[in-house]
Amino acid sequence: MTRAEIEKHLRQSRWPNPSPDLRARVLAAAPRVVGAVTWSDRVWFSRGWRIAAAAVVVGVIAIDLMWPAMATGAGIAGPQALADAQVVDDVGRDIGLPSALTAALAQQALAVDARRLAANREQTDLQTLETEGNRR
Amino acid sequence: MPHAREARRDRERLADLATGNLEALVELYDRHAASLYRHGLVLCRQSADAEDLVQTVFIKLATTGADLLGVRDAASYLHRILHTGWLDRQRRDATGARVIGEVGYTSARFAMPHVAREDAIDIARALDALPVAEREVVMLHVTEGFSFREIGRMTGVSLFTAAGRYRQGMTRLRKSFGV
Repeated sequence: MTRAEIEKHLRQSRWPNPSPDLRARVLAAAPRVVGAVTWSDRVWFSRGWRIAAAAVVVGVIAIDLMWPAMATGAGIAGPQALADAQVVDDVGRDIGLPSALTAALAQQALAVDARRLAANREQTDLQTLETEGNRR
Repeated sequence: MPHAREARRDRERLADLATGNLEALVELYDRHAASLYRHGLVLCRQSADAEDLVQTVFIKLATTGADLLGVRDAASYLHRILHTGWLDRQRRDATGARVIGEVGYTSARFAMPHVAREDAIDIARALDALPVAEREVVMLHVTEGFSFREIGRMTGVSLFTAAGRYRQGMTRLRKSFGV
């Protein structure tokens, strides 16, 4: 007898049913629980709430990734940063990240470098001013 | 296995029951009691014990309250309660040796499926001789149509353990027929 035949016979077996008394017994013994559900339970267990919570988390992460790029949008990155951003972009594509996320990561790499260059430039300007002040 | 519409209806009924609506319990009983009883019969071998287990499941269901709102699959949830109830009963009632004997490998006769054909009688006897863990998986998978993932969740084992028990059970059944 094959496995399929055994399964077929098992499916076709007529199994006994519970006695009708059991139904009456269960319903008689079941206690009535009233007012056990609060609005917070409904919110907590609702699918909409969970989806909304997940969407908020994803939104916060996305804003966190995009913010540096937006804050230093006018900054100019160096050639090394451009190469790094290209590597980030390639690796992201290779491992199958969504293109939007890959672009955001590459943008962030550029933004970090732009900020570093801007800070260096600011430092240099301050030093120049300081030097000129000393001369006078 | 319940279809999507039935599963949704079950969830609605569970939500009603959570607020104390006992009519929801009646509907859930009518839909799931027979399947739970078969599961209980496979575990206990005795009709009275199986009925006690089913009763325990529905009493527990009626007293659970708000947590029922979080149940996604009522059938799996009910069978899991039954399995847990059976384990609790084993721990409570039996001495350690007896527990090992019943949970492990026993070949006591149990009056399982009422059958129409000689083949089916042989299969019932062969099923009777399986260890209870294998018997449970075979019955839940073949007769009730649960997936191994669902059975794993119900019985507290991994998907792979459930599938392994099924494979071993089927091998034993085939061997008992000399295949």
